Amino acid sequence: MPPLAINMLIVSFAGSLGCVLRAVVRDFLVRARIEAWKAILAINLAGGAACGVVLALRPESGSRASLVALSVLAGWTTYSAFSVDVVLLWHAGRRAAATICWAATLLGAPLLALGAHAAVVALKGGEAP
Amino acid sequence: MSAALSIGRLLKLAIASGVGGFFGAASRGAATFAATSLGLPTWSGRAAVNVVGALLAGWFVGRWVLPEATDPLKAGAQGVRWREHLVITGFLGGLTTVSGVASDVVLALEGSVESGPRWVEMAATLVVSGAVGIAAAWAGWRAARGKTPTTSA
Repeated sequence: MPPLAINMLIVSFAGSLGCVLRAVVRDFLVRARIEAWKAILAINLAGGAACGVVLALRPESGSRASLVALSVLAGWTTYSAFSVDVVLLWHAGRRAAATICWAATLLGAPLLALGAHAAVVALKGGEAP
Repeated sequence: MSAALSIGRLLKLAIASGVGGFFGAASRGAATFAATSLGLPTWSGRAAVNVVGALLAGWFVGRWVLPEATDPLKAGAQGVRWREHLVITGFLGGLTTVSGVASDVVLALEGSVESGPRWVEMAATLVVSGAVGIAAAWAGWRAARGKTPTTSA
């Protein structure tokens, strides 16, 4: 099988696994009376931090292992739910919550990724970006 | 009885989101590959699918969820509905990604040995995610509401 086809299958199956995990965890959090947008925010922030770890470990873990991990995380996190949550919160008059959701996701996920990446690189004795 | 119901419910949720997620992730992979094949940076493919996914999510939520939910922000807590979890949670959730945005920022800051951090690429990633995608979700939601006679939002 050509490498591209193998990579596409990895992206699809690993992404599907991430989606299932997200759906189950979100369902659990919503049933625990946590608002859906907060559940998605927590999921996205956790995914951002994990992404930084995977990127920092990429040289050791190899390209295929990191492709699997990054694909699971891509399925685990969701931009579509985040964007709709911001719109619905804003429309419901919850402007502060909409702003927090927006800023915490767009700044929080990359910052957590950078922080986790820097921490892992520092532990390995390298230099962070 | 309730345990059986709960397991059945979780299975339904897992199957719907898993099948939808498979095709969403495959579409994202194809878009990223298409972008790099056209000589465009990888982040642009991911940004494009995020914007398209946000537009479609806004439309589907406005069309399917809003007319029936008393509080759309709590939608999904009551029961598992195949079409919503297949399309919105699975396909669109698998198509779009926040970790991809985070990784694009990290990779842009890492840059390369020759050029150093790619600040413009990082700024473009954040602007598309922070403004264009949200505007797309709003546009999809507005378009759906225009066609829906009764809304409870």
